Amino acid sequence: MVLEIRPIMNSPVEDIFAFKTCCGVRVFDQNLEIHITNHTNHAVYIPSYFDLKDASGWHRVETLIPHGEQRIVPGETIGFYCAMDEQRWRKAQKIVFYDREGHSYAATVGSGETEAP
Amino acid sequence: MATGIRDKVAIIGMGCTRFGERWDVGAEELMVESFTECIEDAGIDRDEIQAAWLGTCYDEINVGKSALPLSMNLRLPFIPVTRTENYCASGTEAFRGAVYAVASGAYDICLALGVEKLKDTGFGGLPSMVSSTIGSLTWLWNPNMTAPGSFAQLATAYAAKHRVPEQELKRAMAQVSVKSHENGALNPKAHLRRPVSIEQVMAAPIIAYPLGLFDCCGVSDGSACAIVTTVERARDMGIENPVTVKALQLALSSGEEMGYNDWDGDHFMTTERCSLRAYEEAGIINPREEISMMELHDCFSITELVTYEDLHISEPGKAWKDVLDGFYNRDGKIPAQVDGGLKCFGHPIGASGLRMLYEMYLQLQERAGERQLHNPRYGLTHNLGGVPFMNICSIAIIGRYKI
Repeated sequence: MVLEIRPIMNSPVEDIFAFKTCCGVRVFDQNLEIHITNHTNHAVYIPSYFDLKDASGWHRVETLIPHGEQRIVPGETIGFYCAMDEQRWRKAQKIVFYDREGHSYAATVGSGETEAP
Repeated sequence: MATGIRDKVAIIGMGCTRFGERWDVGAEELMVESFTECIEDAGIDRDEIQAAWLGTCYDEINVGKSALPLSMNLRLPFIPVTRTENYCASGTEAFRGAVYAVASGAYDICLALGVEKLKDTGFGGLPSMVSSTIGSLTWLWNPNMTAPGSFAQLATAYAAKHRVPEQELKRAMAQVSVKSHENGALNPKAHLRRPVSIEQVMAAPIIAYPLGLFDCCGVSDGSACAIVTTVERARDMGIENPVTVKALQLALSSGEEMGYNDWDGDHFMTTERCSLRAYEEAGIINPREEISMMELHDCFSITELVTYEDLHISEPGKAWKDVLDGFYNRDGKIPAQVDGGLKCFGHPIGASGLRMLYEMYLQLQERAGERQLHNPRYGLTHNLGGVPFMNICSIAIIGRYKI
């Protein structure tokens, strides 16, 4: 396993984000939290979007925070957050993140199991 | 010869609103809400209150100037009412006014109320730190200062001085927040009432390194208040063993932190001194053994962590280990942030100090419901205003009259 991807739906951090406008963070309804852990021995750079697969095909979700490319050093975990419709999430089969080199890292929705690139 | 405040003043009633984003009410309604609970708890008539103190910080966007907002909203009967402010220690400052007024013998029954309405302003955070409202001291010395930035420096200084590995300190700070969220989940008056995991806290975006989003409390709306009287009057009212004030101390920065190189930036010089005076006043010799529970000023998780040492409870450089060992958890030796703290309540500036006392008061009376600790003796509150290099530390210790 190179990158471990763990989605957490209806995360408690949704309330924290909604409350914490004082940090200049004006984001609401961020109910999907996704942890990405780097199990490699080098830094990886992950842009802030993922592809979601459901029965109707692939859909790109680009509304993640924090915005932009995120650097994950070996052993570190970062969090991405976004608003996700619960019905849409229930029908989702897989999510795929990419690194700056174009390698893909997939996780089955539900089991959270990462597939190797 | 001064004899201190120990056991001269009893708390006979307290009230506290639900804190959070109170779109539905103004500061006026918040004052009435906390006062209504407080006076019912005290079992007295409003006209028996002889003097009152109002703690609020940002009057420009809140209740407005003078103490008239308190006297008029509560319809206090033409009594002396004073507005006090000492940054984030304003709540305890109001409490000090009421307590010393009773202890002096000038009045029998006094009220202290703190309130702040910070959420429905149309902008995030607190009003501008670089303007005429903050005073020349700040914009001359620290024109680009932010609260997270100032407190984040505590963490890097602490890690450097005590050679704490970065990830270990980050984990300890995360545990501080996790512990508070576990407690806040049990409190119907807290805003944030769901537990979070260490992994979630450590994975969160960075605000000011190494402080992440979940290491920082939020601004909030809320009010809390207390009614105090003499111990003799409390007993006449049928309260056989009232909750009394054991210590009430205040320490302000002298300018030494900013002016000289001796301060290493990893602790609060004010808290270090204020706590010793408080323990002496309360007759506490070994705080690590004698303090039962605490509400500290956890504006940021690192503030709470270093305060464990400044209160002389954890040894210097060892607070992070105590945290990871669970010493300050609900089931630990000295539960901290029993009600969820600023982390779960948010920080309506003028109200926080009294909110802390409210939880300690409920615990001592065994009225804390699901959060009740077993047989607490002394409750300590720590209310801090300002920033690490320029601040106000206010410490109160309360307990039953007969321990």
